[in-house]
Amino acid sequence: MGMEQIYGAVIEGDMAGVEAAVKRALEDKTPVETILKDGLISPMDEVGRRFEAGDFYVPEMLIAARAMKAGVALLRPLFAETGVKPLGKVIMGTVSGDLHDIGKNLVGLMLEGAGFQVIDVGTDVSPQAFVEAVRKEQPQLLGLSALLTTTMPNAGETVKALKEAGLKEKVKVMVGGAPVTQGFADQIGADGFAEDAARAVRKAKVLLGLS
Amino acid sequence: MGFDLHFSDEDWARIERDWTAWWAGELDRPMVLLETFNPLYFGDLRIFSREWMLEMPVDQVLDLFEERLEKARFYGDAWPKFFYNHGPGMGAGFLGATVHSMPEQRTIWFEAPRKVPIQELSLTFDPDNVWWRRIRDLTRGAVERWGNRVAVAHTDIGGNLDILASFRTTQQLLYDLYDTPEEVLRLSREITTAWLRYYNELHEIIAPAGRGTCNWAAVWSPRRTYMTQSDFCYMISPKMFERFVAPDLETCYAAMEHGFYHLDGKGQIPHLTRFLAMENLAGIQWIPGAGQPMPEEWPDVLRRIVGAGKRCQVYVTAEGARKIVRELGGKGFALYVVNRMTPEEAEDFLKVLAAEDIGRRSS
Repeated sequence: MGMEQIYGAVIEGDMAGVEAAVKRALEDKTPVETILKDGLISPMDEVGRRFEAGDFYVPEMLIAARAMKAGVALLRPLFAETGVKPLGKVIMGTVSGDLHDIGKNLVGLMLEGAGFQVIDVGTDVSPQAFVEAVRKEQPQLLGLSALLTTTMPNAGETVKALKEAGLKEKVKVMVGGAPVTQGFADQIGADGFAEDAARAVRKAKVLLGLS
Repeated sequence: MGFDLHFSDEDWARIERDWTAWWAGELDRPMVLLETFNPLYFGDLRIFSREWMLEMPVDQVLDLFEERLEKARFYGDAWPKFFYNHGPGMGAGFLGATVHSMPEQRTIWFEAPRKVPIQELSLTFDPDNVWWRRIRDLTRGAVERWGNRVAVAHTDIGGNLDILASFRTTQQLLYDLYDTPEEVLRLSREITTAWLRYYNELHEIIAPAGRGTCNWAAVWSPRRTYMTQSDFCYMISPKMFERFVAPDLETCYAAMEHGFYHLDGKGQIPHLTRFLAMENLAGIQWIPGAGQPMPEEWPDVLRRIVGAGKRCQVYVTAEGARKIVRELGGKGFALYVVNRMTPEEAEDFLKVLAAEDIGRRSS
């Protein structure tokens, strides 16, 4: 079975369509990796492209990511036996004092859509809590979200805390959020900055040498 | 002891004359607001504390404001204002959301008191809501204390879908637009109905003072004005805006003479064409957002707004104000200048601005 049906259903955000098509593909003995890469991850690149082009907005990205995740959920029990591995591990969180989560959630979903394993540590996360999460999970990438000018400095505090804990060299740090700029990222010593969720995926791959 | 406000009846007569002319398009200069007092944040972090928001006696709150108003100076087209700042979108609190205060971040946030399926959610006016009673009491207390000396502002009720997002969470509401659009429309209508009741009941308290209406922003009207908003629409397409946001905004604008819209961030620019086509919308406030270039660096946006016959309000530095009048002309703008000036500096600045205004030089 070609992957076009799954691909199209992801783009349309048709969760039921994705689930039905993935089940059919599995019944047809399509390799799990093919379903994952060509049917589920590949359309998320197109979703990101359409978002950057201004054809898709946040709701369209969300329902596409939701549909993709529904398909991945059907494949997950088979990953171990087929040797499918994530591209890398990412921790996502909103900095201390900040309760905004939509940007963080969207980036997390798009990173999952690109094949990363994402651990969401939530909102209002202190620098020390980020340090503990990095120590425990050993991710390749840490994503920090800040939506308020009053909380942005806590991204800098988090980078500082990672350095003091001897962990900064072991993890790449990417920052984002409405008031965040490249200049701010450079100032606090972050490794990367992305303007939106689609660009965050590209940046993550660049930072981890995957593109 | 009397209230020593540095603003006379003659000053008020000038405010009414000039703002009325501005709304009518008869003023060939911009409104320029300079003041030594920030009515939104006067340096007291308590204003977002629960103690301040609910428990402090009305007279004590008004005493603190009065102390600051007495020290304030108002230049250009600024006026003395009491704006009771509970934070953005208190309409959610009025409708029953749990209110959390964050004084250090100078904001509040909301969450639904109970998680229910959207089909079971109903949002209606409750006259006994503790937050609504508090705002009403403070508004009434301010009008009774200051009469026609200080303009008492409408509090920040909030944007329609922003209020709904407080009950659903932003992410879930984004899914709701696709999953249960009719429920979103139903709840939007309920919120708008309640919103208008909040606006009108506050107006009934404020209007007898005879000092027009205003709100958190730098706009005053002799009639009814409000700074509406829909921060949620930053994330949605023009097609979704047309279906889910525009109708309720237009309903609100139909209920007032000088409705204004808080255009917050470049993500809302795709909706600007639609806003400019709203007949009953009188003006747009352009806020580029944190980390973005200042308002004067967006000449196309500014030009589109005033070019469509709408008024435009921005927060600018003195240099930013000069750039706008030099490059676009000041007519139709309300320029809130964030620099603090002495009376002499303010007077000189207003003269410089007038001299540099290409609109006035060519007329």
